[in-house]
Order: sequence, then structure tokens, then C-alpha cells
Amino acid sequence: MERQQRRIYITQLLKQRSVDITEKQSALLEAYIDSEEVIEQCRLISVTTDTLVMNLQENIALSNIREKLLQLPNGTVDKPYTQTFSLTQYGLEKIASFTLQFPESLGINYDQQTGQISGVPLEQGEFRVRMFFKLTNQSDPEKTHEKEIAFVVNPDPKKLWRNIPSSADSIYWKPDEVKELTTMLGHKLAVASKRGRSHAHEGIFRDDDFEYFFDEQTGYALIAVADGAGSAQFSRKGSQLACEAVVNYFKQIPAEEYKQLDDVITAYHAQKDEASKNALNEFLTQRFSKAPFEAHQQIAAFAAELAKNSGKEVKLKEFATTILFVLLRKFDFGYSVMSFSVGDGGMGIYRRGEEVMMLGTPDGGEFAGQTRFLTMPEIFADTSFYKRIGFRIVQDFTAIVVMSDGITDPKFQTDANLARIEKWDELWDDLGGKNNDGAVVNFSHDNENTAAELLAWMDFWSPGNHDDRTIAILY
Amino acid sequence: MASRRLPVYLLLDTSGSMKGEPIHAVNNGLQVLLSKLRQDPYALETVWISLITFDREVKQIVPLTDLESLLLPEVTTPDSGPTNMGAALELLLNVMRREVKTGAGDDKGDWRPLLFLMTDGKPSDLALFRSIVPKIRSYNFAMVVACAAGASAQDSFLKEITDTVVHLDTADSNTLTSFFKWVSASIGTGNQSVTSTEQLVLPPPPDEINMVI
Repeated sequence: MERQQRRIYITQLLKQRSVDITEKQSALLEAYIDSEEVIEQCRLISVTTDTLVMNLQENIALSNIREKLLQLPNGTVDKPYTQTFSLTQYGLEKIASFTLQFPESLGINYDQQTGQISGVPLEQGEFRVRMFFKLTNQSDPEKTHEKEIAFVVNPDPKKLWRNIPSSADSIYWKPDEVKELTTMLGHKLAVASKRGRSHAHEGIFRDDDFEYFFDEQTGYALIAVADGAGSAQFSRKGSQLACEAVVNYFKQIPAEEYKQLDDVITAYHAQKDEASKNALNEFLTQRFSKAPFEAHQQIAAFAAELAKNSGKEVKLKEFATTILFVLLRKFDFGYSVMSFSVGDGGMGIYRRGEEVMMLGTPDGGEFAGQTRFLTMPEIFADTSFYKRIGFRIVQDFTAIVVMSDGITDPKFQTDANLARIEKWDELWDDLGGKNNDGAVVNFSHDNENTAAELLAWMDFWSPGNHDDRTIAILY
Repeated sequence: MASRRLPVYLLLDTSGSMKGEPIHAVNNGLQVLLSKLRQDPYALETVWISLITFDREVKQIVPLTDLESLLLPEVTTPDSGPTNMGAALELLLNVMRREVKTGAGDDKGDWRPLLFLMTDGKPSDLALFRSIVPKIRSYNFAMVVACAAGASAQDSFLKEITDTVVHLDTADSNTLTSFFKWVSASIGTGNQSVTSTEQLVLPPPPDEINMVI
């Protein structure tokens, strides 16, 4: 302490202790301040108070650091991880130097030189990273402090999915996956249907279904795909009943009527006259509203029967399902395609690199997953009901495709994309092998494994898209 | 390609009465919730979480963030003050307008959002609360669960928000942990109900959780 400081200090001290000093004593004090003894004592006081304040500051800084919740950005197992670690980003300016120590087997390290944290996490979990640090101007320069930093490593979602077979003893059980290859209209039809990962994870059922027929006699073929609502208890049965009902309905139409229909379509194609147009409309409005209504009725009857037998209330919506179907016929001039849809998913007549004709518009809502079902009575009263019915004549095609939303969601993302030829070309290339899984579907007519290849292709990975998948391809 | 998101909004009461063990239990519970969800592959790929707290102030302390990169801040509480639940619901509707995507044309819509609200009291801003409740009711949530935690939490106000009200007898760590575990299981049911226009079916609650009928 300088003389002036000593003087102030001692005067204040005396005042504090209420020691009064007279005029006369004041000279004595001046001499006293300059004594060796006082100089030494003041030096010691100065050192002591400095240490006291420094320790206090150090403790405050330490406690501020200890109170902080420090977290590194999350990592994911097997995914390369790089982060720059800086003190300012965590408000740790009081730290002079530090090192980070990651759990040994984690595969992550901190590079003191570059300030980079990097590596590939080998293990999932919630880890503690140890930070050893020294403060700026700390009292004991040798002392190292420690603080834990939280670090979460997410699992790889791919590895978390379980595949639990559904119980074959359960009511309305159906196989978790099915594939079929058949011939119709001089083409091949490959169909594959596979339970989604979200269902496999829980050991529950495939809710999708399909059915088809081809009658050599009349020359008519039908392909139906249905998607049972995930939330409905018996939707796996609903989708099956819907497909069967539609197929049976068109099977029981007399050959004579199909023959008349042939003439109507041929006349319509040739002349587009009023008479053939009306006759065609008559068939479509009659048969294509009665078939889905018949399916609706059959499901309702099935639900009522179940209620009767079980003595419990069974709601029709427990069988909620969508339905998409096409009725096809080959002519000299091309193909007639009649279609009906309620719900999501998609149907199209695809000509590679040229054109896609969408059949029907998916029923979507404001949010994902909102759609309409065959089991909703109101769809039949809706004024837009006839928009569900479609008719096309095409000369030829690469493929006619009917698929559930388990395919359209990951492959087309939006309903608007379903009308875009680029997206269909991408899908076709994808089927042909342009994918990360090495899956190839060979659509040559002499390949007997097309359906099996299609089923294998359907195992494709798409984050968040793990619904049941069904696709029917006529090629 | 981004997958469809399942937005999950958590509204937590941080009013003065939550100070001490309850808020500590909430912090633990949230950690448990995240740990559980991270083990669910569906949640890990689709769940996005937002956290809104309400006391005297209402704050969105976590904007809607994907589970994979979510870092949970510590939830704190002031020493005392009102429970502005109405203002919290109002803020919720505002942030959802900005954060939740509905589908049309080229836009890919989110899954319908889930809402969990937890309180140990009742709304202090009752007039605002009553004016917002119908908007919450008419919003197309896949599920709204309101939780009354502790003796002074009043079920009747929560019943105005949703039919699904659960009551916890105490707001201690064990009870809240089992509540948040149940929340995680409820979010997981999004799994089974992807094609649904119905309200989600909740998993059976553990013993500590009483369904208020």
C-alpha cells in the first residue's frame, strides 16, 4: 500500500471502530503510518483482502459454470459427428483452458488444436462428457475443475424396428405378405402386398388387401386394392371383404351384358355419338355405384352378424377400408379402363416417358392420413360421388398400376405429384433397379419371379413411411 | 426426403405452486419422456416436439423441433404468481398457425397434432381461457390430453378443453415419471393410427393415473 492508501485505510478503520482522534493526536498518526510495523501490517492486510475477494470471485464463477445446463448437439449411432466447441457459445468466458473427455468406447474425440469434436458414435445412449478446466486468474494455478456436459446419441431408427409375426390364431388373420403373378388380357399382372414396419413392430396385422379376376369368356378383368384403416379394429377384414365383394359383383354380371358393353364401348370409340355415350354412362353410373355400395352393404352385414353372435356392439367403422378398382377390357383399338376409388392411394395408366393418366383423385384432408372410407355411408349420398368413377380408352401402356398409400406416400409424397409423369418415370426406374437397396424388378413376360422381386423391392426404406404397402402392376 | 411430421405440443404449468419438488419432477419426467421416445423408431423418425410453459408469463421455450436434434432446456418456475392457462392456449394456436403444415397441392401435410397439457391448479385468466377453449375444441387435434396434477388441480376446467382428462393424486417424481411414460406410449399409438379420421385410442394408464370420467 502506498502512503496515501495506508492513511485512508487507517483513518476509515478508526472511524469504523469509533475511535476519535484529536487535532494533537493527528500528528502522531501521521508518524505512525510511516512506521515499519504499520507498513508491513498493511501489506499483509492487502494481500489477505485480495485473496479473499479473488476466492469469492472464483467461487461465483465456478458456481455459475456448475449451474449451467451444458448439452452438446445430439448425435446418432453410426452417423459421422462433427461439432466445433467454443466457450463463448456456452457462455463460459471465465474459463481459461479446458479439455474434453468423452467416454472411451464411444468413438468421439475432442481435438484441442482445432477445437473440433468429431467421430462416429458407436453406441446409443445418454452420455456425460467430462470437461476439465481452469479459470482465468485462479488462486491456485495448479487446480483443475470439472464439469459434466450432456451428450445424447440417438439410436439408428432402422435398427429399432422389430419384426414380430402376427398371430395366425387371431380372428381374421391373414398372411403378413402375399405375392401373386398371373396372366390377363395378354399381359402379366404382378401383385405384392406387405405388412408395414409399424405393424410388424407391434406384431399386428396387414390391413391392406387385394383381389382380381380375369374372365376369358367375356374378356373382362378386374383389379382391386383396399387399405384398411390402421385405427379400426377389424379393418384387415374390411379390406378383404371390400375386394371380394367388388370382384364377386363384376363376376356375376351376365355375359350378355358384357357383350352389350363391348358394343357400346366400340361404338363410343368409333363415333362418340350421344347414344353410345348415354349407354356407357348408364353402365358406369349403374354398375360402378352399385358395386361399391354392395361392398359397403356386405361389410355392414358382416359387422351386424358379428354383433349378433358376440352380443356386443360392433361399429361399422371398425371395418373401415378404402377401395380402388379398375375394370379392364382389351379391344382391337386399345384398352378400355373403368375405375372407381374411395380413399387414398393411387391408380394410373402409365406410358413411360410420355404420359400418365391418373384414375380418380385421392381423398385427402388438411392433415396427413385423413381420408374417406367405403364404410362411411355419407360417401354414397355425396353429390360428388360420380367423380369417383372414371373411364378411359388408351391405345397401349407400359403399366396400369393400382397402389395403396403405403406406396404413394413415400414414392409420390403429394397428391399433385401423382399426376406428374416425371414422378412415374422415377418410380419405374426405381423398380428397374435405380435404388439404394439393389432391388430390381424384371418386367419381362418370361420372368416367373416378377411378383417375388416386387415383394422384395417393397421392403424399401423411407423414414416415417412404414404403412402397409400394396401394389398391383399390369404390364 | 423429409418424412411426415407428427407435431406434439406440451403445455406445462410453471406457476409458483410448482416450485420445488413438482418442477423437479417435471424436468425428470420430460427427460424420461424423451428417452422413451428415442427408443421408438416411429417417434424417432416422425415426432416433433414443442414446449410451452405458463405462469405469469407464457413462453414457448422449445419451438417445434425434431426429436432427433431436440435439446431439453431446464424448466424453471418463479416464486409465485398466477396460472395464465388461457394465454398459453392462445400462444399455442398462434405458434401452430406458423409451425404446423397442412397439405394441399404440392405441400405435404403433417399428421394431426397431439396436445398434452399439465397443471397443478386452474386458469387464473378465466375470461381469456373461456374464449380460447372453443378454438382448441374445434382444432383438428388427433388427441388432447389434459392432466391435473396434485390435490389443488381442478379437473372441471380441463374438462372444458378435452374429454380426456387424467388426474394425478400427487405431483411427485414417481407419479409424474409414470405420467410421462404414459404420454410417450400415447404418442407411440400414432404408430397404429396413421390412416385415421378418428380420435386416437389411448393405451391403458398406469395405476397412478386416474382417468376422470
